[in-house]
Amino acid sequence: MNELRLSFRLLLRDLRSGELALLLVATFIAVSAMTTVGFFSERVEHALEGQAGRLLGADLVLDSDHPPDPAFRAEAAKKGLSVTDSVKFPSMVSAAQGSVLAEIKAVDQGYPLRGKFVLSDASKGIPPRGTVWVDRKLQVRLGIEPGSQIEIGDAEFRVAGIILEEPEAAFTFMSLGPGLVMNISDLPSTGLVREGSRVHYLLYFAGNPSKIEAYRRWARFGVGRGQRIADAREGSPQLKDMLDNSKVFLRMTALFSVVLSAVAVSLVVRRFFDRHLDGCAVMRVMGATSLRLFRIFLYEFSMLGMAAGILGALAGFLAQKWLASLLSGVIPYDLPAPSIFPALAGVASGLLLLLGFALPIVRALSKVPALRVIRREMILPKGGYAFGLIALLFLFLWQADSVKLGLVVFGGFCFMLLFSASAVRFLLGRLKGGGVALSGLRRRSASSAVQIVAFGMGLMALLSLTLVKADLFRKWQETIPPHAPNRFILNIQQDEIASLSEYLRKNEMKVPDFYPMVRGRLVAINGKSVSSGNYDSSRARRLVDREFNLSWAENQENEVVSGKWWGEEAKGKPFFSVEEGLAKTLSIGMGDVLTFEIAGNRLTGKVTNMRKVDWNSFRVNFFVLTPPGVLQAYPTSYITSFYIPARDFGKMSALSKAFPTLLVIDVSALIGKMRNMMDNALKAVEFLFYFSVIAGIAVLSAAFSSTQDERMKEGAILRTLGASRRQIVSAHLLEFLMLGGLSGLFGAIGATGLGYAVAKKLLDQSFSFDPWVAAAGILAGAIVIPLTGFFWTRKVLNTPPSRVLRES
Amino acid sequence: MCKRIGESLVILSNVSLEINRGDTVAILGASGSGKSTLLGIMAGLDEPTAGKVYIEGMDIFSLDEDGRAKLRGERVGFVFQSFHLLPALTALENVMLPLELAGKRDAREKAGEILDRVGLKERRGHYPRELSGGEQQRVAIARAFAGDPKILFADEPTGNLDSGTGENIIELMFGLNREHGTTLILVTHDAEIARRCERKIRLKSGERIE
Repeated sequence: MNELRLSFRLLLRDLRSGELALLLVATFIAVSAMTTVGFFSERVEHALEGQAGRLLGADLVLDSDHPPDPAFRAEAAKKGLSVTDSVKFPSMVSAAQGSVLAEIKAVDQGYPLRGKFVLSDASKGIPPRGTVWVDRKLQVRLGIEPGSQIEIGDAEFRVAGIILEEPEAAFTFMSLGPGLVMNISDLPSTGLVREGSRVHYLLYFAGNPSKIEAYRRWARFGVGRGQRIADAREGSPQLKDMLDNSKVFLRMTALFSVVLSAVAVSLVVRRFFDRHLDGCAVMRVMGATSLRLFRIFLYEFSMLGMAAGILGALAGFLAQKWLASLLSGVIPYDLPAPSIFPALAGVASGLLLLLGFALPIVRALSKVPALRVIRREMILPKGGYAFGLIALLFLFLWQADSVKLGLVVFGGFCFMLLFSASAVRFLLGRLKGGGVALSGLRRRSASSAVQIVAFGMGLMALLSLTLVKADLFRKWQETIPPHAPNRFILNIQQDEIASLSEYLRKNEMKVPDFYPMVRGRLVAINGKSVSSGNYDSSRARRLVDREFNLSWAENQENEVVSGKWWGEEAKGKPFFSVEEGLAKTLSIGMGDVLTFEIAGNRLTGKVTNMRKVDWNSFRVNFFVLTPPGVLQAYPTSYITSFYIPARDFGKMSALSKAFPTLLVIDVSALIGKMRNMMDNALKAVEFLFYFSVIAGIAVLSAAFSSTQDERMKEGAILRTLGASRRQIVSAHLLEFLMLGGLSGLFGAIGATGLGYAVAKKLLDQSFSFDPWVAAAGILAGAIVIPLTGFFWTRKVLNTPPSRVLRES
Repeated sequence: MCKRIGESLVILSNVSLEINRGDTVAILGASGSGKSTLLGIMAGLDEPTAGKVYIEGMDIFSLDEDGRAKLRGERVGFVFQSFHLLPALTALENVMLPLELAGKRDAREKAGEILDRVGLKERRGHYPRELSGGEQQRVAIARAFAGDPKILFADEPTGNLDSGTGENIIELMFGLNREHGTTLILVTHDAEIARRCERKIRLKSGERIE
């Protein structure tokens, strides 16, 4: 108790004198950065998932071809999830002008759990009994208006609204025809859903992410044949990629703030050590045992860490609140409320970080020999960094949420630390001549090395974040280029291609490429028949159960990852080119012999190459291709995709009327939603980046303040010996330029290496070396560091030398 | 006792002495004669190569460093040539520190009283950098006497001060010494200070010559 009180008093005294102020600030920044990132990324992650959920109408969907077991519903209710259901089936819809095959969706109260219908009028909820909502395609095809009567099966309905936007955009893309939404209570009256009808029963679930995750784990084992569980990420590979990448980036930004804070903290405790050596020796003389000193300082640092942690967590909370309010205009619904966890994690991380670097120093301080009061030349115990690095590694693995990410970033920084430290030693050892400035660097070689390494790490962090960020932005932008195809036309017959092309030309639309499409089912691999029972993964089972699209191509449009694309000689030969993801899922290897069943016939051939397909491109792509002349004999339809600008949307309705048998799919709503999501993610990422910048400034300040005492003394002596202000300023300038240039160089080298590792190992992107990064690093070092240096050393010039010398 | 560094460098050679309670002793000698080393060993800050030191009958080198630290905390006070005040603490807090380390509850009152006694009543809240050299040394003396030490070691207490200020400091030290009945052992090469001490021990090249 007595010791705690004493520690508290010492803490107050140290704070008052500014000894610990910088440490408080560094830890505060570390914690507030971590907490903000924690709070915000937690909320944004949930929000992004929620937004992705809007593309599904829920967080999780069970899609079943028979009525699902009531246990699915019961368990969800038990877990506190919201549940609703729908039934989907194709049916003819008749109106006064004729009939059209449409996709009917009968929905229950509560649908959709995520997102909403946008209707031509202000209706809300779901269609009241006896009424339906129709989409524009159906409206155009049937020539109906709100108020019109239509027939579905045995029942008659009034059209109550026109659907402009659907909550299940992802399914709109997959479900083909025009659509109609009705109330599930009206379903029996249609008489359409009977044993053996082609019906999908969908159960929708929504709730907080941990409950959803728990439910998903539970449901995985209950999913039987003809059933599958889809979540936002699984439903759309584009979204999955984007969510994964943005998560990696948000986490990585958090880690970089941690590294920078660690650098700042390690610099500040070093200075604390230097400044407290004498005091500790005096206390030892006055009878303090080393254990006592250890405890006193341990308590002092712990109290400091707690204070900084609590303040930082509070600041982090406020920052993310402000950030969330900034985004409120962008994200069209409320972010979920934050939990207390990021705050606790922030405080704990702050303590861990601080004590990790402070404990070795505290231990060294407690062992300072009392004799130092008489003999200044005593060899002193030194605190190491090993403990701090271990604490940092632990923090990394914890905050990274992924061992791979933690290890890549931690390894990158450790390598940088070792590399730059030995390079600086080597260089400073060989430095000759150069007057006061260089001799300053040389004289303070230990602290110069520390500064260069610290600045280098700071620049490395900021540069590599910039690099990875730019790569990520580019990739996201490429995902949906401005003129990405927003219309798909399916079900085009061979003899319709000419007239369709002619129609498009006449209506001033570009004529796209048409791709042949043959539906087939994989029945055997290497002569052994395959069935869904052979596979564990639900995706594999789904692929084997269903027919998928085969096509033929003469020219190579995708990157070939193994084998060789075929030439002229392959024409008519039964070769297959398989998409690598499909091959992996179904365990198909190069040279395997595949047998497909197409329209009752079997086609057997060899896999001669594998392709990488960018499913994000919104182009027409196929899992399996053959050379020309292999599939022509089978029933073939054609598919195409193209972009039309918004002002031409009306032309598409005319097209649908002119070619009533074609299926035109509008993916513009889906693209719009995905663009919106990416913009939000980019904004969040951009903001989090600035935290690392602030942490970087803390590093700069800590590094300069760590040599402040030395510089003050040296400046005073030089001025006493008659050096002019100009001489001291130019000596400093040259020294800072050297420091900045060198650390910029190391930072650029480190950033390039880390950027490479992150792109290759974590984001699965290609990495392009950018010489501008090196230039930017050196330039940033040579401009920012001297400027900050002058800010910190202005005291050297403004304090009378007599005072400096007296105090030292 | 003896103190050697390595094989060849002899700092103290067979110095033997006995000091009684309440004595005032001056250790004299030229620079490098081993004065400070002798003081350091007597105070238990440094260990002799050979020989023993007894304080009130206790062999202090039979204790480990922490044990000696405890002994110092209870019975010994120090005044240094370069004052060794903690720059982050005010005059009052510097004097309070040994009392706080000893766990005394009335540290503030006691430190205040003794600061008044050394004539720094008005300077309690000042930091070392705001005090003159003489004032700093007075704070150091107040700090040394705050714990009621049995023995006060002083290592050239006036070495960093001008002669007038030095005289005042000596006056103060001897005065407090009389009031508290403390044993005073000081290292100096100031003949005037030595003259005021009851006993003189003179060293030359590590050997006692007086």
